[in-house]
Amino acid sequence: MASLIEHWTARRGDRGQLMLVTAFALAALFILLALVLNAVIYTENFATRESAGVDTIDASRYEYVASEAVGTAVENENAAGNSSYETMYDTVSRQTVIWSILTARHRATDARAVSVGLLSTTNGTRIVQNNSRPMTNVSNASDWRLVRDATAVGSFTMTVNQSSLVTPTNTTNAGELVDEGVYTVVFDNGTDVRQVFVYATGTNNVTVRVANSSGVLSPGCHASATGGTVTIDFVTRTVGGDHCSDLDALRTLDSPYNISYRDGANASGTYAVVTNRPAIDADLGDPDDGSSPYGERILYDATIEVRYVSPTLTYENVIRVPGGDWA
Amino acid sequence: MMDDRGVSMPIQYVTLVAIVAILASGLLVSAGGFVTTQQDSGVRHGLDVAGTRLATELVAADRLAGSLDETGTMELTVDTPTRVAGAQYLLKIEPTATPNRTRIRLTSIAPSEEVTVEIVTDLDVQPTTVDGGRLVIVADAANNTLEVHDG
Repeated sequence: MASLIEHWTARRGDRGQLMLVTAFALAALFILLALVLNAVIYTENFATRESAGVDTIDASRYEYVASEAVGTAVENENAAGNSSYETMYDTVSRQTVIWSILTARHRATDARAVSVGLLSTTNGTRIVQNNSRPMTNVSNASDWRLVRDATAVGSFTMTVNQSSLVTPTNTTNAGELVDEGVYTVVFDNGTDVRQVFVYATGTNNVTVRVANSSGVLSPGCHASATGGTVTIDFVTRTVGGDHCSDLDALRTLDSPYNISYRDGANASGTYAVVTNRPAIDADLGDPDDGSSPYGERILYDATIEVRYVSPTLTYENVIRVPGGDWA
Repeated sequence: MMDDRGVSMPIQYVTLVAIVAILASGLLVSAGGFVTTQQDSGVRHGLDVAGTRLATELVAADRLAGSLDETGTMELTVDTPTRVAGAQYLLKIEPTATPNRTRIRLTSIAPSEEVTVEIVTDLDVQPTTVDGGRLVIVADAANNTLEVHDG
């Protein structure tokens, strides 16, 4: 018995291995837990980092500002007067380069390489009659062509004097209106035609009706004259400020097309047309000698290339900038 | 020595060891389970963050690339974590039954977890599978699509 007790006492120092192993295992687990928590903290940190998408907003903002800048340069050239197309192009190109260099310097400070370059411009024409007179050409011809082979008409607004218009008696078909000498704006692409008749109804009303190629007339849009005049917008398709669904037929006409006036002597007023065609016919006068209507050279639109490079984004785009308040 | 009577030394020893072993293993199992749960949750959280990050960048890229001309180019570099809570993972971009809706399915390898994020874009996002890490979103303006590559 005594030997057993001695043996037991002697082994006391060896006891606890199991506890020790458990403690080590637990310590290892806690280290693992610390690592997992560290990974979670890293994830949280990652989640709050700035998104690379911020650069996409910056790039589209730069593109917008660049298009505004070039657009303004083109508009200024268009407003400045009847220069040659080459002069206008050179001026806009020079201004674009200057603007590009200035912005590039400015953005280089925050590691952004930006540039904008003028690729091309579309030569266009603005035809204007800004003093109220018959809708005849510069030599007082009643039937004449304003625009030839236009693929786009940026704006076309007309203000007609109600009292100058014909009041037709027969209005059932296009032929009758033509016979009665009703003032007509003709859109013609060679195979298809839209005739827009403008005539007076009653004492103070103006009616606009559109005939298709087969001569069938639309129901008509009516507007009462304010101050003796009614404004017709052929691009936004309004008559007297209200939408005219009859004019929607103009949208289905394939380009290029011509725009002509028929019986222009039977209406008077003012108008302005912007097209993307450089042609200025002899029907139009020179803006510098005060003749009316006149045609002047404008830049219809400009095509620019925008580049934006940041550490995370490379962006290059070609966009079209209108040269005025047209699309 | 009166207390020791009737109990042999080996039995007393074995009983003691057994009780300690049961307690220790219980502690280890529960602590191990806790750590495993935390790791799984950490991986899911990480996948969620990586998926949301890619989704955000894809939507931003879509917004910018939507106005691209046919000759235009756009490349957006996106950093997603290489590993989440120590686990490697894959990002699988796949179309859904709804047009313009794309699903990003993130799958970790060990532990095996899965998280999906859905986005709505104007441009179609090409289906692909990429590893987590640096990714590049490229716009294909001619085909009106977005592609995701390993960076």
